[in-house]
Amino acid sequence: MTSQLTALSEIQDLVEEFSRSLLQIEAERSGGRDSDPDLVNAAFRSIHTLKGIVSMVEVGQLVALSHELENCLDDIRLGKRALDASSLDLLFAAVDLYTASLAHAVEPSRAVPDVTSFLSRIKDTGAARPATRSAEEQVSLDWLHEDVRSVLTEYEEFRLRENIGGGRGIYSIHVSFDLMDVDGGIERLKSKLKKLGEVLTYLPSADASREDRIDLDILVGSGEGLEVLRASLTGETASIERLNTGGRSPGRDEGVPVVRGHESTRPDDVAITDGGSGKRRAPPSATPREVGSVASSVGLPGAGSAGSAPGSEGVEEPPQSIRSVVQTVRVELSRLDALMNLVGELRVIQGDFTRTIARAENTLRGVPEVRTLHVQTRQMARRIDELRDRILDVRMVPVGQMFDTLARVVRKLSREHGKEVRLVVSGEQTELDKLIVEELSDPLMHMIRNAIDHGIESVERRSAAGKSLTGKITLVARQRGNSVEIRVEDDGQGMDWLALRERAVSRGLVSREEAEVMTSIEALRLIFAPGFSTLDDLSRSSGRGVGMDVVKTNIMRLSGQIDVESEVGKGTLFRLTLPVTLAIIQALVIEGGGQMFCVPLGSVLESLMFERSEIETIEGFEVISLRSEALPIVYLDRIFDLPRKPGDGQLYVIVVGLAEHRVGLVVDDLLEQKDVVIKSLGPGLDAVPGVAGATEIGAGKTVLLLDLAAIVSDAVRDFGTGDRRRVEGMRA
Amino acid sequence: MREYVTSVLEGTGDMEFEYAESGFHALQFLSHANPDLIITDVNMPEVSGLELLRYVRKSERLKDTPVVVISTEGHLVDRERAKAAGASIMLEKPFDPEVLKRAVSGLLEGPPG
Repeated sequence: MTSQLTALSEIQDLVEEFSRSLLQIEAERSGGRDSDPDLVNAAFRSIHTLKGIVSMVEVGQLVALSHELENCLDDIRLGKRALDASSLDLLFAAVDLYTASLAHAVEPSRAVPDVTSFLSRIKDTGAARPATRSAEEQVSLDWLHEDVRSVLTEYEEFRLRENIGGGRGIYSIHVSFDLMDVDGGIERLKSKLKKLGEVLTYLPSADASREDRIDLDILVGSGEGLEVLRASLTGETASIERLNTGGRSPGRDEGVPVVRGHESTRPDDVAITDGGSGKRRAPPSATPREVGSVASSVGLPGAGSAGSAPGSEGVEEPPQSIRSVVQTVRVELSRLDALMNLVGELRVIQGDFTRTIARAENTLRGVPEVRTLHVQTRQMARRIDELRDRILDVRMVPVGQMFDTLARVVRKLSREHGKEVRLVVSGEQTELDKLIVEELSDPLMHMIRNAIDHGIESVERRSAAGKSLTGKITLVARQRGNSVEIRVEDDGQGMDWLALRERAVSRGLVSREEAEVMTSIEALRLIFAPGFSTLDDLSRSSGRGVGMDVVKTNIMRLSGQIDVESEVGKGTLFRLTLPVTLAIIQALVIEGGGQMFCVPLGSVLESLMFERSEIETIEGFEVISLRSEALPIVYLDRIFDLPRKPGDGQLYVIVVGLAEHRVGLVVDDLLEQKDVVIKSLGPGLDAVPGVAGATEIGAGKTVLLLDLAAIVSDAVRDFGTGDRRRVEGMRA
Repeated sequence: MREYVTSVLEGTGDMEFEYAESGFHALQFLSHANPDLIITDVNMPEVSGLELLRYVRKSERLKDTPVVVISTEGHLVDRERAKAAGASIMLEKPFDPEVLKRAVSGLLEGPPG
């Protein structure tokens, strides 16, 4: 099972890599430039590698899909098939099919994607486009040394002919690198050469005079003259010559190799290389990056900057073992959870230990070891906290991956709606707990969908309103202390808060009187109310979100918050605030019905002390007056059928929820605030309503973590419209 | 793919595997190691499988190392060139795992006699 999961996640990585290549290709196309052949080849290689892996796992028709897709991409990169809008659509459709197939493999209840009809589509369009070959047969390669030509792959030879057919000069650059620095050196050189032309191939020569160096002949096609290329090589140990004028060969490989080998003593040592995907991350950028359907003038992430280390030449670096070049492991989240639980338990034991020492101190007064014990337990506590932070670090992933998926959604939906939408993202390197990223993608997708569905106007309407014809959606992530803020902003028609208010009245969610005194912010927040959103025509034309109550509930489950701002004609902004991780949270420990519970501190708006006599009853529901508004209350002991604490004096209320959905949770006592490690409940308990998990808080005590999202939504449902009734209004 | 090849070959004999994720990483590895067998895909970024093969065959130290070259289906030119450049065995992706196993065992045992 584990190896199956590993394979699936590897497939997912490759599909994402493939999708990134497609997005970049599309960005170039819409920018009016020719597709970079390297990008097309990278897309091909992702699928080529994928094809090898899918045969390991029996996932639907992925073998057939990969096979056809590889053929299709192979034809495209070899110029036998056009790379136009419709073939790009087809390739993007393949990404969706892979994603759906993986989802089905992990959760068999998910729909089985229809690969078969895709396969016939890809075959049909392939047949409809006969080879549009260019100069292939006319261009002679006789002048190229047979030694070089004989090892060109079909693809490399095709690119070579294309360059010659396009009137570019073919140059051979001889360069020598320190073997251990070859990655950095190549990246540096490549970024220089890519500005001037196309790097066609790298031919390693085995005649290096020293085994710690590697000599390469790099074939480059360029429209620039020899001097321009030579000038670009300043600072490199390199020589250059033009090949296709005099028909000379690079021919530097004839010498006798001077090689000394370390004898391998291993039995049957096998080296395996493949076309697999070296991960190329976009360099962290402070400036927004544009992706999506009509992005223009976009620098390619990864091209040009990775690996260049100015000034590193000549610096002696300690020799690296080949094993250390790429060292990553894939780990299931559950294993990290297990580690985290252990750390939590360690911390609890350490707390107990400290308390025991404190108690013993009275009887052991004057014993010098007691002081030492104190110092040592403090050191231990620090180390445990450090260990906890390190484990948290491992769980963190950049949100960029999720943004890439959203870029695909934008592309697809804007097509479907016939709108022009550009997605601008920034802060892709911002990190969040993997679990949060997973849970966040659906709500974000929903918000983006709403923005395109209801927010961004049609081209005609934008034109009439004097706006730029292309709508813009901005996705920004940034870290703010212990939380991450994600902003989803569109420049569409915005939401009319007066219309929203009317709608709420007509749906019976608020009374006319309440509506009259609502501020614009309060009215906008109505979109988060259950029962507010529907898919009818009115909602479509009012341009406001659909299903935002579900989005809000999901964000609350992540101990996050969501808020909205909007201006008619200008656009809408959703601001999400999320904790960096859920594995460890700041909790408020409370007591109710004689038992301890804890709640995420981030979800607690405030806590208050009340006299029982202040409780009023409105239409059968108990409320208290908070800043002249009626706050519905629920009793913790009643939710869980626990004995009620006797007496009728003071009680504590913690206010939970957001905006118009505030609920007061009545508890017997507020005990303490602390960082807790949350464990999921075992089977059987995980279905208990109102409980989200459990944690140990010392002295062997396990307490339950309340699921505030469920408690608030239950309470709001019960109260119906009652939760916002003004006390004064009822009294009048 | 590397995992796939490993999983196919594991259990067929006492083997140790080293992986390189690109042609350059393979060159780095080969600079200090003498593997008993090399398996390479033709389609690698920068240094292709064919170029790696040429490098191996030209190296005095490595020239006799058996090399298995995996190519894309239908690429006859790549196949022919791999053969001409001295590939010991050529496989097309996707290949039957049994074929790989037999090929590898055959190459490691060396020519009969």
